[in-house]
Amino acid sequence: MKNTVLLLLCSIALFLVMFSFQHVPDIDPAKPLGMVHYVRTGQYVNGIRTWTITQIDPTFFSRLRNYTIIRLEIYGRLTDGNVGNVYVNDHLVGTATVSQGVYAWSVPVDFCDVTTVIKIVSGDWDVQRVDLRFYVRLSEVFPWWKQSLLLAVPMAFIEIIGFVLIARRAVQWINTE
Amino acid sequence: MEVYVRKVKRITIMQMFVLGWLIRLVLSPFFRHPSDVQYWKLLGVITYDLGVNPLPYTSFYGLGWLCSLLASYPLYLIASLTGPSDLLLNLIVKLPILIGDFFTGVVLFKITKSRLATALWLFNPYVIFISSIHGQFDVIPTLLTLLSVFFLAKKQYVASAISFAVGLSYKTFPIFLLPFLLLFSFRNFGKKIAIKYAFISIFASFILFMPYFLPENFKYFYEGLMLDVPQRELYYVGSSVSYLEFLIFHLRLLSGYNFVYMFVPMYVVLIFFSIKFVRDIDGLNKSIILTLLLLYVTYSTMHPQFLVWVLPFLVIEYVRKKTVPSSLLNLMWIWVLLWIISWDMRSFLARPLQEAFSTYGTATGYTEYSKRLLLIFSMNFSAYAFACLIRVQGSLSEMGVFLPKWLQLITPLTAILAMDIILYTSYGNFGLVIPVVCFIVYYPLIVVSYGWKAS
Repeated sequence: MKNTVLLLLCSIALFLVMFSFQHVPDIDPAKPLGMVHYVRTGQYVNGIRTWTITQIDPTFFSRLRNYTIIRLEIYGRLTDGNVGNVYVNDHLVGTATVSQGVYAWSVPVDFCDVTTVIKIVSGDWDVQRVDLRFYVRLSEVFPWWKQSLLLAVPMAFIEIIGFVLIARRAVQWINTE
Repeated sequence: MEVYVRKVKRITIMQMFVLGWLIRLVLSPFFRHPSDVQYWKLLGVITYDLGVNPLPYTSFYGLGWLCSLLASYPLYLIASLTGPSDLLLNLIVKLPILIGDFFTGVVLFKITKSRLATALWLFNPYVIFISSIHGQFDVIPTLLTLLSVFFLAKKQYVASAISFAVGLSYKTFPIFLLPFLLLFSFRNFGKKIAIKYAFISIFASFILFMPYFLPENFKYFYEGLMLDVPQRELYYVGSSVSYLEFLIFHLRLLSGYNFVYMFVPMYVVLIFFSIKFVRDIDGLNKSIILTLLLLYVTYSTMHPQFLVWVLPFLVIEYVRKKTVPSSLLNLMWIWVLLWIISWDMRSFLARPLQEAFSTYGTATGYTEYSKRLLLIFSMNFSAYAFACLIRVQGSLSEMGVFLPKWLQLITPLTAILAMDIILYTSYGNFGLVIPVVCFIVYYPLIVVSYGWKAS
């Protein structure tokens, strides 16, 4: 009994402390949330080169379409005096004209799909890496679980029952010795 | 003083468990690993806030951890209706880990019937650090492996095989222990049961991994195995490379991926000897210890949480057979403390505290200096595991392999000294001062742990 009271008191005190601290989340909802990125090894481009990315999560192009940000990063220097055109599924997303280490462009969501082909047309570009990055504007998304409160509440209830059963089992196991 | 000692001795086993639980509960909200726990939270956001299938995002971990994590989330969701609290979230994501920690203590008590063994686990600062402060879930597959051994000892081979498979769905290390579990089943229950055991464990593992084969989750295999792994740099000399790996790379004895060259042959030899060796639970326990230690000294990356895997088995060995000196267990804690010191602990503090305690703003993990320290400590741990391996292998003689004592001693010492010199020549600008200090500090510890009073 004493043990139970001690546990209860500590838990309540702990909960009070946790909620009294100012809320500073590890995942800042105000910033775009980096979800996933697809990296492909580069190739030297003298003419046309393509990289195909498959199995991209379709949610980015359906339910999260309005909140998704896509960024294409190309690593590797373009030789001076050359030009490189970058296409995503045959849509032009950018043109590289100066020699630098990294080139980055925003890609409209409409340009991409579950299978996305990145194409570079250039006379002399030593591409080291191609990286297609997906972000979501978290602050604009209405949480899915709040739309499904009828599901979340019973789940929490089941979780509490689960903890009680686990605790009872542990006590039984300890006491049987 | 005596009064306190008497009071401590009067603590009941139940009080020990309550105290162990409270320590973990109180620490959990206020600390977290800056990237690992953040990733657990990200999985929660992906699933519950965005309503996105989380399986393709868990390529590093199996289904087990994802399910545990997501099952603990609903309480937080409901509590956050009154206002979100990141501190509560730190606790919630660690809840499955804390429960795993607690139950490992319970199973250890069931197996050993020893208060000492239970206390060695429940009040072990290293275990508390990994679960409550770091927030790594290695204790759960460890618990399931331990349960597998426990059920096997109770002749409940179906429960044992299922525990093994569930453990595998958290981390893959239990796969290396399967041959020994099968050997034990074969020797104690016969060929038929051993085959059933193999079938159930493989079938259950397949069921647990199946969701990743579904077309929408196939990215896990496609991106991970087909594209990521072949492009990955095999010459990984990061901040926590194992001792043997480092030695071999820097002495240019071998090229390529030494885990394959080192672990696999030694593991095959171990299995071969174990045919005679694994007769009872003690033999099984010893073979588990040897396999895991072998993994530590040959695997390319040694993360601090990996040590959790072997700890319950070392505790059992210590309590039942007294063949692992207590100094060895204690010194492992010292190693871990050194490792922790090498981290920038500000980054482990939860955000509100971090800002209150840190005068530098947000902490950013490792500095160049701490990286160097980390390297040294990981090397020495590996060397330590190596010495431990040999020590536990007082059983080498039981297997019919005998090494003269002087050779047993000289080998790890020379290797460690060579390693530290190489290490500092490559990484530091301190000349010979630091290697000598390392020698003075660590080597006596390793020698003591290695044990002059070998069995």
